[in-house]
Amino acid sequence: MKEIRLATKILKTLVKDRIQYLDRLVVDTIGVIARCGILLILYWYVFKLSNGVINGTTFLFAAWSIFFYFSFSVLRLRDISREIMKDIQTGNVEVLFSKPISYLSYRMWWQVGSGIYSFVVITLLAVVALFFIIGLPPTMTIGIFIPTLILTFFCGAILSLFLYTIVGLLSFWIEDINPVFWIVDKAVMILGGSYLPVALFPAFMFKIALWSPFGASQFVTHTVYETWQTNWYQLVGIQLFWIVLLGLVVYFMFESAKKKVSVNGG
Amino acid sequence: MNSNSITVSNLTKKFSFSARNSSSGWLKNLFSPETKEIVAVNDISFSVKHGERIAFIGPNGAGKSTTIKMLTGILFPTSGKVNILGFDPTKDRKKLAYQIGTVFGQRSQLLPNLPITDSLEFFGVMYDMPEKEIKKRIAELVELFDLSSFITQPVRKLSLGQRMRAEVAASLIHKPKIILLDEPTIGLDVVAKKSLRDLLLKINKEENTTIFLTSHDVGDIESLCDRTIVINHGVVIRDLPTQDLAKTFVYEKYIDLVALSNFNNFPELPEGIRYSSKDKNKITVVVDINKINVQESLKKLLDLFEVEDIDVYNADLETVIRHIYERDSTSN
Amino acid sequence: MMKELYFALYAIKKNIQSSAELRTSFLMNIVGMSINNTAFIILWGFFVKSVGVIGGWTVADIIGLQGFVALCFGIVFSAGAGIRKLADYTASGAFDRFMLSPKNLLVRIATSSFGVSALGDIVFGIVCLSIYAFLIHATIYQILLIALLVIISTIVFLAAAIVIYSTSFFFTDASSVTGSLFELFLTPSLFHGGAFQGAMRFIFTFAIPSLLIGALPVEIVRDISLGKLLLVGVLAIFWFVISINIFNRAIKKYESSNFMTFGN
Repeated sequence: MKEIRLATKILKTLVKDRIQYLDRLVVDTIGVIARCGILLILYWYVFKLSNGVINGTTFLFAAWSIFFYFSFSVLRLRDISREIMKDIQTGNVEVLFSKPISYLSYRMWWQVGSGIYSFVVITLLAVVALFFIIGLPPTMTIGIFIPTLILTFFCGAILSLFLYTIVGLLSFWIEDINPVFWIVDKAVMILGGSYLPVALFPAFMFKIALWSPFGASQFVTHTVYETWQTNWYQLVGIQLFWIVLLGLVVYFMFESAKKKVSVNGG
Repeated sequence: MNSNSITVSNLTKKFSFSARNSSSGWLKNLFSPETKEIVAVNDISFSVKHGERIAFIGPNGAGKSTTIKMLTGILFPTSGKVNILGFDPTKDRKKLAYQIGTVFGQRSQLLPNLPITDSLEFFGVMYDMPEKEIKKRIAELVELFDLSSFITQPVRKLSLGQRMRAEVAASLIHKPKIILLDEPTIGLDVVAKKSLRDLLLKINKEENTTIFLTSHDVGDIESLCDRTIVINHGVVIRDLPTQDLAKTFVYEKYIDLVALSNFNNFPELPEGIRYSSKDKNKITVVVDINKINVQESLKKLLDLFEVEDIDVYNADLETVIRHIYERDSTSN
Repeated sequence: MMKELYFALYAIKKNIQSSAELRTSFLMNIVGMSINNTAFIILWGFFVKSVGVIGGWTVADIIGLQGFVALCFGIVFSAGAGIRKLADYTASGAFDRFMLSPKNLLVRIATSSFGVSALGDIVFGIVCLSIYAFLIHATIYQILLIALLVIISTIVFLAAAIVIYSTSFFFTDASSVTGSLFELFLTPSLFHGGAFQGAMRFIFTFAIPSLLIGALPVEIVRDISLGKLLLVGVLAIFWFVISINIFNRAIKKYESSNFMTFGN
């Protein structure tokens, strides 16, 4: 009960903060336009040159798939790695340890809270814009689309948080986690279907995207394709598998980190 | 009912880390490094009663923060026991957290973009307080700390003095029994310092909150704390009422001699008197009254020097503390 | 002027010495950066495989593109990593100490910090350009062009960085705004150059100089196009002049604030 109350409070407070200071919203909007926007224009041109079909898919599907990736990334869940690293480097982690809260869930809710306002606003506006500019693929109007999208979105969010938390927790042992962060982040970027939509993946790459946690965290990009209707439960299953596995890793790493702090200081 | 809020018994903390041996090769250092051990806190014991106001001081690296971390349960002792409000911090850190408040002079815990009330509510929820109680407590704190004049402004726009008041208020939202303060007055102007100290005294009186303060500011120690514990090299070297601390070097008297015209000579001084500082306008000497009394020394000094004014005083607390640090390290 | 240069080199050397102490981190950074950059080659490489040759761009050209961008990024952000920290400096009021320094302000700020990770970009950039030169069987002429274009693209990159980070003086939460603007510049520069046509090509050549640092150099080398070379050269000078101008104006807007570090 207390967890929920605190989580709600964190979300409410941070959203209030973001509404007051729209800098972050502006920044995120520019980011989406710079990446996703330009990318979609380029792909539109590329698909036109290829007579509308590449690898069995059309621009419409590719565009929505790419958009889902970038929309998801507005949440900036990846930043939790840096936040944890900062906490450790500044000693703030000790201040938080002296509060009656669970450090990790506090950090995770905080991360969600920081990004949720931008995410909701930008996603809504962009969906409307895309709807009018390029239209909706038929796969997005069927009954199970919305519920499975929501399901895979939540699973992907949890998985992302776990992945990046693991990277962040490495700061307890390694001075500079940036190289690890980059590798993980790029793996997510490649296998998630960002600059290259999953439909255009060569077969072996698609397999890796399917089975790895990096790809699984971005399964929202798979929801627009026709195969989703038959495959969705398999993909959600893969997400759940990784959530459990990585959840355990997070748990054990954190216990180990706490021991380390309590024995040898930060 | 134990009237002690904090009891520390034989507390020791040793850190071991792998040190690079510059004479062995880097391969050996990678796989079988030498482990060195340092003793940060060495067998210290003290106890603090409810409502006491303690200054916990020592030079940098003395073991202060290590000790405080062990009190809050962030660091586990190598040996010895800590009992705070009946809790063992190594076992009941979370439960203990509900009873402790912390203020760090150089690190803010407030949300920068929102007014203080948002931070206060936030902490209220964090400490599991019911809504009604949070509102009531916030009203109390606003009055007590006189926050109403800037309560609607975002925290980042406040002056340092206002921010520290808000920080201390935030640390007290859950009515903790102990408040730990680390350099709370750092960077504050004289007026803001006094205001903060008065507030802490008020809280201590009205809510019987135990105050545990570390500070390098002697004014904090003198005005706020009735008892001082001095730690150096991991060992408690003094534990006494603050006013007695000032009297530690009571056998030393300082005498300032202000020149009538100019001091040109600085002759050798009689036994028991030594120069502390000298220039052509003013000489300061230190008299050891175990060796020579004030009357004798004044006679001898006035024979040696022509003075316009003379001032006789005890070492101030700052000098006393400095002496304690200095003399302790030389005896080590 | 010589004094400025000497001081800049001295500052860079000092920074290297203090970062090189974290030796394992140093190596890790270089490896990490290389892997980081390789991701884009993988992405666009597979793009070419799936989509085919667009605008004459082959996988070799992708490698060349990444090489140019990584190299100019590496050069500017290793020795001049301080530029990126402009937002932090202004927010924390630490900028004051730079203003009091007797050296040229821009140089002083730029060399105030050394970006160890950017060294990885330099290594990566050189490797990529070498591979590229090999794959296209570059003539001596083309190799010289590559060298020249590295210099030109570095100037453009530096100018763009100065312009973007100078906006720190105009915002409160500057570090995210500047980071974001920088995205707007850098990200398109890493995209498949052949996909930029028509209006897009115009915007990203003249309005936002993203194509100047990678895509256009690749096309110039591949096609040995002197007309484009001239264009890129002129634009580079133009951007550089603008950047100094904007920086000086931004300084005038500077105000310092009383700031305490905030933890969350």
